Amino acid sequence: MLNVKINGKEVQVAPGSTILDAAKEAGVSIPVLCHDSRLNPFGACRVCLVEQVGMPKLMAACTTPVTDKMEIITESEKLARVRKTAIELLLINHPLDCPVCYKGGECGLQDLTYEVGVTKVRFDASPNDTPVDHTNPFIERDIDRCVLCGRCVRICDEVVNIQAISFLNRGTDTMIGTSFEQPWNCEYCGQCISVCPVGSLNNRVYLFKNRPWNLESEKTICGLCSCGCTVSIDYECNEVFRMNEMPEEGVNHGYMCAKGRFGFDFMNSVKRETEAQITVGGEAKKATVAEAVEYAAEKLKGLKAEEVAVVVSPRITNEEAFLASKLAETIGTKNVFSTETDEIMPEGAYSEVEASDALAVLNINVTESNPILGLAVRVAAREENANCFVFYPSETALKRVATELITGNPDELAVKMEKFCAAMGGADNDFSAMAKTMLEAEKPVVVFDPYNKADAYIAQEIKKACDKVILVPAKSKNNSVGIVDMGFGKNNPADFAKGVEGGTIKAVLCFGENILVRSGWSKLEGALAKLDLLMVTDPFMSDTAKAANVYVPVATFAEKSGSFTNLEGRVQEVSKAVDKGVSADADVIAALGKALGAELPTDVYAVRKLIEKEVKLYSGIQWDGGKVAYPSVFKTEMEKASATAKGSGKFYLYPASLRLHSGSYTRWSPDLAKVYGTPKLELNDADANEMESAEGDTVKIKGDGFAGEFVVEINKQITKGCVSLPEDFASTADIFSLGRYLKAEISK
Amino acid sequence: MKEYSTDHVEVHVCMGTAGVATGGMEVMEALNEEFAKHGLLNAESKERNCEAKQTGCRGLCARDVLIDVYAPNKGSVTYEHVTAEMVPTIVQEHLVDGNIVEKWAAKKDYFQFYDKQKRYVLHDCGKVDPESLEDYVRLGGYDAIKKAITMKPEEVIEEVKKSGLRGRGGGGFPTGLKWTFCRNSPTDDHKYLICNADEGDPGAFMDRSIIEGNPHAVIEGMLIAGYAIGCDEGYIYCRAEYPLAIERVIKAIKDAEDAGYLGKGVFGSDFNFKLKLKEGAGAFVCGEETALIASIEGERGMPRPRPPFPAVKGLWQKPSNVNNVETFANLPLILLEGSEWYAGIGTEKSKGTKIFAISGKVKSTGLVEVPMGITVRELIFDVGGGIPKKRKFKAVQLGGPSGGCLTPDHLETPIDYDSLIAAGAMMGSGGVVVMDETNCMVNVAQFFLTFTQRESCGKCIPCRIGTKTMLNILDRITTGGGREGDIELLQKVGEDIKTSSLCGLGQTAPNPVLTTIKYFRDEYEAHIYDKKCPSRECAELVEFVVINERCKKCGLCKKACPVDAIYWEKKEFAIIDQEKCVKCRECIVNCPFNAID
Repeated sequence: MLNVKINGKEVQVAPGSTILDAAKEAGVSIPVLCHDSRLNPFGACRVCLVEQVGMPKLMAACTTPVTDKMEIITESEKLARVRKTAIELLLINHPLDCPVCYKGGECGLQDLTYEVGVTKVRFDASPNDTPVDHTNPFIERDIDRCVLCGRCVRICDEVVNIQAISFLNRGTDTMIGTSFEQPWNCEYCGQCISVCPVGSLNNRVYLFKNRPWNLESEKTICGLCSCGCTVSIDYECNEVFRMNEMPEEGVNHGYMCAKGRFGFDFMNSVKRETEAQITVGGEAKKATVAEAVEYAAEKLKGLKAEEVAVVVSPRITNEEAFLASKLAETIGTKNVFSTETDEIMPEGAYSEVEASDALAVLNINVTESNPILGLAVRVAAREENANCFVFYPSETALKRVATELITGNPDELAVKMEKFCAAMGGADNDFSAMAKTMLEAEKPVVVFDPYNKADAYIAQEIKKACDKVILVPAKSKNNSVGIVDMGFGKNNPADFAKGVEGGTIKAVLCFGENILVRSGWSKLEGALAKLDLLMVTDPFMSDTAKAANVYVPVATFAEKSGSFTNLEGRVQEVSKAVDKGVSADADVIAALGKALGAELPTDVYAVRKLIEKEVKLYSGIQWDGGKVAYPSVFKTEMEKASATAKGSGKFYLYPASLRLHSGSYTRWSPDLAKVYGTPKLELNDADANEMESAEGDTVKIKGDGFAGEFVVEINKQITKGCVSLPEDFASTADIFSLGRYLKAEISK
Repeated sequence: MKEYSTDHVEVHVCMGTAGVATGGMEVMEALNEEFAKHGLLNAESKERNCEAKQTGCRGLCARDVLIDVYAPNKGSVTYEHVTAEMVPTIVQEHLVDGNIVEKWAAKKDYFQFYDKQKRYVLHDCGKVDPESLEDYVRLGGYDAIKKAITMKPEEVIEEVKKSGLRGRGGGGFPTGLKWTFCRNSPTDDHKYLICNADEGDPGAFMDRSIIEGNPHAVIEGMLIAGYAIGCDEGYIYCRAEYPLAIERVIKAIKDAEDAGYLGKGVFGSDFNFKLKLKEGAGAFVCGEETALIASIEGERGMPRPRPPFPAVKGLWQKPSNVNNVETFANLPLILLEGSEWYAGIGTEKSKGTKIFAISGKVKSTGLVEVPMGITVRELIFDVGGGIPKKRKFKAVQLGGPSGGCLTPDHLETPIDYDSLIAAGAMMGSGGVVVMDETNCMVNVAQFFLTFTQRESCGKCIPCRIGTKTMLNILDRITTGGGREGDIELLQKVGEDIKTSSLCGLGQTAPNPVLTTIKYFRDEYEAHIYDKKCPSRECAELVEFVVINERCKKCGLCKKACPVDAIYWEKKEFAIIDQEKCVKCRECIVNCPFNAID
């Protein structure tokens, strides 16, 4: 440890700490503008200059490492003068449109101007005046307000690894922009917005909707995918205005993705239902929740227990899922279903991915499907001594960091992955060198898609060959893991379809699930219509809710408290921020339980007590960040599954991951839907040329047992001869119900 | 240093950039044609066997094309301002008939230029063919590295330390000490050696001339440094605006590689050294070592915070040592002649010689090498030949845009690192711009600041906006908008920029302004309060009227006026038509009597 004196106060800090770190330790605040502790030292703004006793030159606190017995002074007349001059200089060109600025009230420059006490600028003002750029659908760029701290450029490079933006030009002409001033071509993660100290990079979803001082904040966990990001919900009068990062907090270290940052507006959607509805003989009638529950209870009473099925969505909280399992118990049915199964459970944590020296990403486009896990992979893969092997049918964004990117059509890729797996087991083939790297690594990690049985088998075999490999099955939804823990992964989802189609299930209580857009379930529309009772809860009138005879509108994750278990198996608390005047699933379940004669608690803490008692894995769990210790990743030995594409045709079709959507829920977000609303068929440019079809054209796809028409999106990264479609759309769920990899013909 | 001798007749043609620009290539061609015509090519008699040889810069670029005729055992004869048309006469009279063409031969004033110089580093410049390895070797080239590898690396460093050599790029940091830092810095694989050839100061061409004139000396210097520090890879970072230098370095590297002087096992030792050339992309700031390193890495040329210093984490995060071209070119000398000999030149704290590029208002503009400690007066008046047109010396800007202006009061200041800093200027890389009474000092400050603010990388606030703000104030002062308090404002902001900028560019950019205010405050005041430019250089502040008391009715102004705005008849005063005048200042410049104001 090094001894450092800051303004006379002695502190001890570790070698390598900066003066700024030491000052923090000493409780001394040094003003900063370009500094961000997550980014490499930059030292551009010169606002954090400090004096070292006995040294003539000033030094930047954010970049200068401390030395033993260093004496630092952070406040002096000289320092006050240079800081003031720096701010004054910025204010020459910075437009003083603070009253209408996006950042007004939470602006780094405003705060600094106040802090250093600039009341008058000695130089002639010459405010910048260039048009605001709206070419990015989510990010407004007002370069006039830019102070060139470079935080956006650095986060896009050092963290996101997209390098969409950079410094352009020199001297006073310096600006942030793209190569050849093209529109921003990025992943829309908005990390740049999160670090911009001024109103230069603005969130268009929040822009001009409110002022920061009006907003209250609630720390919670994002409910849009399995990453489990800690976020802040900023609201006023029960309206959500922002879902904002909490710098450095949570497993996401304060990073967010496009869905989280720009997709929250579905919560305020005018399309949300406010009243329950009972449909009798095709005629829908508005009802109170109590009436709806009573109607459902009456229907249930006339049925045998085994004729009732309870289906939950991986969107609901652990507490709600537990109550739903209690409800099933009350009814006496073992027909509890979800799209998830308990065959594969989490193992690795983000910290292990970030620290890994050899990663294999097996057939999952992780930066799209689980963006924050994708960031962790990128962080690890960029380390000089780390290797990252990526298997995917097409090129992915990991190409920039991958040591090797192995692509090919799904059949070829399956063979390559099998060979890699065999090499891990000792076989001598093309993948032996890669396997050797993995085997010799200190902290090897394998990320895979647990919904793909063939891949899961390979992951299992790799783990068998090398026990130190840490597996990261990337489940998809915010509580995909938790609902299984609460008992909704025991049964095969296919049995639900069989039961409904075969008539053995006559009533379905569906909490939050949109059955009709799920692969394997999407063709149940007719069968669902024949049920005696289909009760659906959903914040929106979903495809499935439309088919229901009892519908109850419910809360989104911002409107309720509870907990989610993320893809690491980490339990994290969700806090209620706003009230939209609708019940939470927990209330509906408890009411239904009560009508059936069971007393179910709705208080979160009371439910948790029961969970801790009844769910072994959760006994003694820490609800605000504890990781569930699963006995093993695989419940039972996985069997080798065929990955061969089914059917016939010139093209291979496989499911694509979308960074803007997770399931069907996010499609209610007007901003996300504006950019990606209907499913698009991704096609290689060479194939598109051969077919003479261009971006935006509609093409026909036809295969064994399916046909459809889709709009073309040309994607150079797609392997020639392959096409992809997103899952979770009614039109694509039917296709992928037939299999994960299909052969198809495509024509104009 | 071996005196140049030859066993046949050699005609050395200056083929440095200035030589080429003034027709050196044509002179070469003409020489070869004439030689062929007179049967002098490969002639049997060594007195008649003539060879035209391209060489680098001799220094007095103002008189290019310069050629030197070397005859066996006869020394050399220099001709000035040679053109292709003059070649047949020179060949006929001098080489065939044996009579020197006196009317074109260099006279006393030419040799005066060299009298007070000590051309050690530039000794072979102008004599060796920069594109010939054999020529360099013939003059003792690569003997220094051969000697170095018989010594321990530490001994080489010790020798350099003893010589007292300080960095020639501007900062003047002791070279041997700098090497020690990098040598002692641990690494798991590489250490890098970088030659900074990104010379960008306006009016400076020292490094350019060395590389163009004697590239192997730089390579040999790098080999010595690489061996001493323990570097196995080197880069020469040369600005792209030096195409000839780049061409010659590339050839020199290739020749040295082919000869086995570069690469694995240098001269049979176990020292490996790979050398590459990296072209800059036209940014002055890339002369700053951390920006230069960023640029080699393919990043934007922006300075990085120090520490970590390059000696600890430099190129690709590995220990790296950056030295200037001239520093490297000094090394073979130190090794061969010995540190004691070297330390005998110069002053107590500044050893050896320094190369300067003298430009501006001096008679002999060009490249000079003088011993440290020579006075400003000697440099300007003895070497540079003084101020032309019988005008008065007013100021000299030393150290380029980072340096400062010195006045007639400083003429006796010895030129060494510390005396110049004390006087308010700096050694810099060696640019010397001389100004006479017709130069406006506010305008000079504005000129240098225009350069630095344009070349600011834009990273730190004080440099990016501060220099521009200072320039805006200077702009208004020189155009009649100066306000009370502007001088004080310039001083305050200038000081703040100096103390708070990230790199050397910003930390020195205000110097020209601050020193001109210090020494020529009255000029600033005249601009601001009287709205007058005493030197009549700021056109906005000149009325462009003829002062009849001074006008001698010569009519030169009328001849000079490009827009026909001056009326003049013989024996009449000239009159300037204000409607037509575009304030180009041609009349002021051409009037011998200072009669236009």
